[in-house]
Amino acid sequence: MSNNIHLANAKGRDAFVTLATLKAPAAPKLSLPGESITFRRYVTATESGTHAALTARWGDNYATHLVEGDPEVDLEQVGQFIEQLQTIYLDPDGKVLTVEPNMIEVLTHPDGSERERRAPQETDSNTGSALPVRWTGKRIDLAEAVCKFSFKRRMQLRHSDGLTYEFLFGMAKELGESRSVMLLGTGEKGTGPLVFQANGRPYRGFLEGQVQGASYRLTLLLSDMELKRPAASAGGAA
Amino acid sequence: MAKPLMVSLGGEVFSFSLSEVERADLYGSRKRLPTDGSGRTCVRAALTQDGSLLIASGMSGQGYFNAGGQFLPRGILVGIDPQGKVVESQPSTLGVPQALEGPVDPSNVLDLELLSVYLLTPELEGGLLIDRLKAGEIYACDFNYAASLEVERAYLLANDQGVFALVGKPLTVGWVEEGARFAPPVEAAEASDDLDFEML
Repeated sequence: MSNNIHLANAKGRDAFVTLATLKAPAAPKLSLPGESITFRRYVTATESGTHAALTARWGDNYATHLVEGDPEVDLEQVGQFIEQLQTIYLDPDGKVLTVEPNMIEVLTHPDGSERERRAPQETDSNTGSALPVRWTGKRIDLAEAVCKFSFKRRMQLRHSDGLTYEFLFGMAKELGESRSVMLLGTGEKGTGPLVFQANGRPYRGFLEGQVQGASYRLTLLLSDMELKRPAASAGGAA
Repeated sequence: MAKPLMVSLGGEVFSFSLSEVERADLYGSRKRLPTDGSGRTCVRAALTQDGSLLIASGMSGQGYFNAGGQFLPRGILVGIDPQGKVVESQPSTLGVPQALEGPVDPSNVLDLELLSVYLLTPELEGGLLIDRLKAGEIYACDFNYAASLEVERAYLLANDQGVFALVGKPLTVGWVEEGARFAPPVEAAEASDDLDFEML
């Protein structure tokens, strides 16, 4: 994700400021005390050992052949570590495509049924572009926002000089005093979602802030989902 | 079916069945599919660097190996924290009453690296906890869907759609001080004579 954001405040003054993704401390990992171990990918079967290949050779009941001769195990290849790979595509007949595939975008309904097929829509990132991310003026009470949206990511805004300190401190102070979050928007009208990288996931962005003396905490809350009951499980609110 | 989420408040135990809610459940999904010249859907596969081996779905596995390349069964591995200490596996909290803490301040919910959202269905309608959640109170408890190396945190809250548990790992947001500099200014060149063109 971009480590800068071009942001405008309530007065329309804008600046590029630093963004840092907030992460929980690293989790424990599976390992052996005092030993260095690695998680690696390896070959478990080759084309001649797949269900399709074995069925084609011996029919549906090939179990006896597996027990007697281990034909599914290619001793030359199985167990080999897989290091660097090149992506290819196979057509429905299992043949390797020799030209780049055409990409299509498939949209589905919440129940999984197909809604639309279309040419892929390319989206540019818009958080570090010439047009700043806007302070929309739409303020939402913090307690209401927490119960309404699922905030998937949180990023911290930081200043890079005295001017951007004043800029961010002012926003954090205003939001902290009102105990609210501010909806941010992109585009000419300031109503679009935030996209951090080309073809990346669009998010609704909210600013949240607090101050303590001369220090501040201003964070960007990103949400791509409301806290709602899926239609499939509609059965009345608790 | 998963065991219920059980929580206790004021000596009373409340039980909820839980189902995970993902974005696709609410709004559907969008994915890109590769197709051939006839519009037939293709599948992604891989070739080894030398082109000698085709790896399609189901032809590879993953596992832990020691420095000598020997496979290590998962059963002999233990949890090691970032400081190198062995940590015990923590059991699932489902089916075991967890003491609720709170009501907590709404801002606490933001101090979470969110991993999952669950829709909670109370096994009994009404009750003290539901009334408090509907009134806007938020409660916290330990949560582990399955046994794992660390215990996660759940925040229980409600809106007009239902009761939800937001589950994740606690995160800390530090204060930013006035004197802090995160993008230090580039040092100005001392004099134009010192400009190094050889390194260009």
